[in-house]
Parts: sequence; C-alpha cells; structure tokens
Amino acid sequence: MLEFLIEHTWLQALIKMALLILAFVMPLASLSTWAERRQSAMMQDRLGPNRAELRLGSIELRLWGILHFVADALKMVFKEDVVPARANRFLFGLAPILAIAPVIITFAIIPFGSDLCVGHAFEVLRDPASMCTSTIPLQVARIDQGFLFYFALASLAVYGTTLAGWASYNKWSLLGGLRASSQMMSYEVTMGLSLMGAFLIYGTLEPHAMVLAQGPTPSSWGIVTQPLAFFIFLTAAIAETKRAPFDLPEGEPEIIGYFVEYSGMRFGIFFLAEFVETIFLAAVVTTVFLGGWQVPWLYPDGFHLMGWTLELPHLAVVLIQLVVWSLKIIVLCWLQLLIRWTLPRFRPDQLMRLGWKQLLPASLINIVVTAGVVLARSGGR
Amino acid sequence: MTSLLPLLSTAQVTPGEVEAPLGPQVAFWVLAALTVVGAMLAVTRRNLIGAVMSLVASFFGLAGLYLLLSAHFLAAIQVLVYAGGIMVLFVFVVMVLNQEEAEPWALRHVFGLALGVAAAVYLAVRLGQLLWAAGPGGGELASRLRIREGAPPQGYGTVAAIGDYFFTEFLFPFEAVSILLVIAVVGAVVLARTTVAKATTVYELPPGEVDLRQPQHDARDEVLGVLGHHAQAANRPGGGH
Repeated sequence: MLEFLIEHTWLQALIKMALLILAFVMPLASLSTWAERRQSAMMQDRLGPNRAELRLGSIELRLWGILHFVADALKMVFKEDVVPARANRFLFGLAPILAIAPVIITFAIIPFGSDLCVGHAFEVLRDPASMCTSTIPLQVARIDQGFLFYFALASLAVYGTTLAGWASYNKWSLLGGLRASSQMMSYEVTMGLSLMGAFLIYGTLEPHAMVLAQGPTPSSWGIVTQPLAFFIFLTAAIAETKRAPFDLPEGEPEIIGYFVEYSGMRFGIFFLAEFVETIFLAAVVTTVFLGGWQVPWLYPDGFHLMGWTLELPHLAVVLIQLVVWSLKIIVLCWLQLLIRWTLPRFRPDQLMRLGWKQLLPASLINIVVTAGVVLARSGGR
Repeated sequence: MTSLLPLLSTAQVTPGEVEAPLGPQVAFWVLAALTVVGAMLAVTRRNLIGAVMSLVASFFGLAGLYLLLSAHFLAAIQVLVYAGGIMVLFVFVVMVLNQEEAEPWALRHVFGLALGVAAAVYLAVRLGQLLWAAGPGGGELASRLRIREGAPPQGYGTVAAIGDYFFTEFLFPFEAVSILLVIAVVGAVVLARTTVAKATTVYELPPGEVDLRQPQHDARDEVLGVLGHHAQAANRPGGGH
C-alpha cells in the first residue's frame, strides 16, 4: 500500500489535497464563520448566535452555538436561487467559482509538516539523511516556482469579484466590482514586493525550502529577520481578502457591493471564499514569517535546548509539528478577526494613499536594505 | 518532475524515436484546442467582456503548453502578467467605458479586404510549410522541429536558471525592456496630468464681499466637529452578519 503510494505521486497528491482541504481548511472556514460572529458579539457586548442546538430525544447539544454554521449552510442550500432577468447567466454562474477556485488550488504549495520517513515511524531519527531513503512530503506540490504560482493564481481572484459585479446587471454591484478590482490590483503589487526580501534571505521561492531555511530556532524565523515585511504583507494581504478595515468593495452595512444580486449558495460560495482566503493568508504568513511547521527547538530526533535533550520517535515529531502548524494558523485567523472588529473602514482615498504612497515605498526600501545586508554578509560577491 | 518534452515528437514518429506517453498527448491536444478556440472567440464575440474572458482562457491554454515544455517559470509568468495583470486591466477598462455591443470591425473597403486576404494566404503558406516539413522526407526545418529526447538539462526552466540569464548574458536587453516600460508609464502620467492643470481660473471678488467658496471659520463648527466625532465613535460600524 505504502510502496504503491510512493510510486504514484499523483495519487499521493490527490489524497493530501483532499485531506488538507476537507479535513482542515473547510472545517476551519466553517468554524470561523461562527467564531467571527461570536467574537464580534463579545467585543460589542452582546451575545451573538448561541441558540442553534441538536435535539436527539431528550439530549440537547448546544455547544455554545457552534452548530450555527450547519444551520446557515442548510439555509443557503435551500434558498431560492435568483438570477436577475438581464444578467449574463454564464458569467454570473462562473464568478463564484472564479472567486473560490484559485484560493483552494494555491493550498497545494503550503507545506504542513516535515517529510514523512517511510519505515521509521517509531524510531528516533538520529541521522535523517542516510536513514530516509523513501519519503512522503507533507505538501501537495513541491514546485520550484512556489510563491510565483501563488501570485499567479491570486491575481486571478480579481475576476471572481469583477465579473460578479458586471454580470449581475446592476449599477451598484458594477460599482462594487470596480472598487474591488481597483483595490485588489493596487495591493497585489505591494503583496508581491513585500515578500521579495524574504526570498532574498532564504534564497528560494519554494515554501518547503523556506521552512527548512528558517530552522527550529525562532530567532532565525522570518518575523525576526524581516519584521517590516511581516507588517506590510499582513496589511496588503488583509486588503486582498477584502475584509474590514478594507471592506469597501462590499461595505455590507450601507454601500453594498459586487455580490448584492447573489442569493442562496452562490452567495454562500463568495462568503466561504472570504474565509478560506483568511486561512490561506494565515498559512502563507506562517510559512514565510513564523517558521511554517517548525516547532521551537524541535529537531528531527527530538527537542534540543541548551544541553537538555528529549529524544522522540519520528511519528511523534511529525504529529507535534502538525499540531503546532495548525495552532499557528488558528492564532493568525483569530488575529484577523480581532483586526476586523477593531478598526473602522478606510475611505477610498485613504485606501489608495496607504497602498501606493506608504506600503509600496516601504516594501521597496525593505528590498533594497535586505539586498544590501545579504550582499554584505555573503562577502560582497 | 518528469520530462514532458518528447511530447512534440508525435508529429513524426519514426522507428527509433520515443513515442510520447498518453497523458501528455491528451493534455497537449486539450490545451492546444483551448488556446486556439479561446483566441478565435476573442475576435468573434460581440460582447466585449466575453471576448476578454475568452482571451484569458486562451492564455491559460498557452501557460499549460509552456508547462508541457518544462518551462515552468514562463508558465507562471504567463498567468501572472497576462491573465492576472493585463487582462484584468482590460476588463476594468471595458467595464468603465461600458460600450454598446457593436458589430465587430468589418472588412468593408478594398484595402481591408486585400489585407485580410494577404494575411490568410500568409498563414496558409506558413502552416502548409510546417506540415510539409514535419511529414516524411522533411528537410532542414524538420530537424529543427524534432525534439530532443530525454529529460531537459539540469535546472531547465527554474527561477534560478532564468535569473542567471537575466543578470549575466541578457542583462542589457532585460534592462532595455524595463526602461521601455518606464517610458510608457511616465508618458501615460504626463498625458493624464495635462488636462487637470488647465482647470484653474482666477476670480476676483468685489470689495466687501465674502468668498463663500472658501471655508469660513466659525466657533460653532469646532463644537459640532467634536460632537460629530463622539457620535461617530458611538455608532462605529458594527453591522455585519
């Protein structure tokens, strides 16, 4: 069974993609819809959704309202699917798919654990290089272009929102679509440039190699070596997800946005895409700035800290890494919720000024300074 | 990643040459069809957004073809720059202009007709030449078309290899092209700014009049401003789901 998997990498990739998306991303996205409403309620001193419950005879499962997302999903699936009379039916249907497909596909480059060493699960890996002859990478696609692949697909997410605005045959949604595309185009530039410094330091575009380059000592992680880039990227990427304080494209409370004509599950897909994007953003920040799946002072053979050692079998090491990777992502998702419900919305002119006049020059300075430091440290070659 | 290069040798399978595996063959034809059909739809669709989206599909096909040729960097850049950058701007402009759906540009005059016929003849001749050369008994062109067997050289198509070329052998063309782009951007900014500069005229007020266009200082405004600020703080947008 394992040999078959090692030989057939396409089957491996399919299984890993299914596990990553269905067992981690989608549940987390659904749970964060509930978490966001509960957290916003807590921050605004109200209760929030807490009444959904499962009744099995006399047993009542309430669980603080976690089941609300199930109720929401059921509601959306069974709602009437309305298509405006003069809408372009083909593009109207295509837009939600174009909004969610790129972000799901880009999860393929995210490494979520160190390579599994087949046949040594219960041994301590004292010498990984010679012991591991056959490995299963815990990453769907290890491609040399890595982050370039992410930028390429992320740039396509604009079509989803823009076409949704245009195809609805509604002036308000058209304006929302235009706001969305101008905002996303502006911040994409900064987003790409802010990561260049990190690429220079790690000497690669490939996420797994970046995680390895950061190592298990937190002082060499990206957030320490590239602190400015961390804040620039986080800001630009939140703008890219179109959530508050950058929610001008949709502006739910008053100005309504590109998906105003969407109902039922078509709207649900836009809604879900937004939450999947926040998780993906957390995954990218984890990979580039927080050491990916690295656990502080955990090496392939166990913990090493100031002369103190704790040897652990390979499987335990990988499991700890998986859990810590998930925790990092959950904490970053929570941070995004906190930002969303703390800051009020920008005005369009503030948005453009922040993007083009502040974040972009800052990221350029970051590249030049980083390049100088890298050059000086390599001996000026 | 295994090499998909032998794929193109399907054009001419002679004994001794490797036949491409089925997967890449199917992928090639699907991607080629996507590229050609997308490009044709882009020039025939009346609906401008439809035309632009067909061109995006065509670019995707092209990126896929680059992948089959192990040019992974080029494929990523094709999607990033053309599909994700330039075509998004096209969609943006088309949406802002909101043109009526008009007839596509038609060949009405003798000149247009002659141009069209010339282009069609040229295309037919080139295609015929290619097909003839790829067939049995092809000459010099066929040997150029024939694809090397086996894996591409180490590091072929990677970011590092492309970067090496850009900063050593092809440094001058690379920099020259980037300066060309800067010239275009600066030119666009200059063109856009000249229209704004003309709009100011000096207007003189009769003595004793108050210019109502200028903001007047009033102590009440400050009070109102402070109140407004408080009101805003109280009604912070909290709406949502």
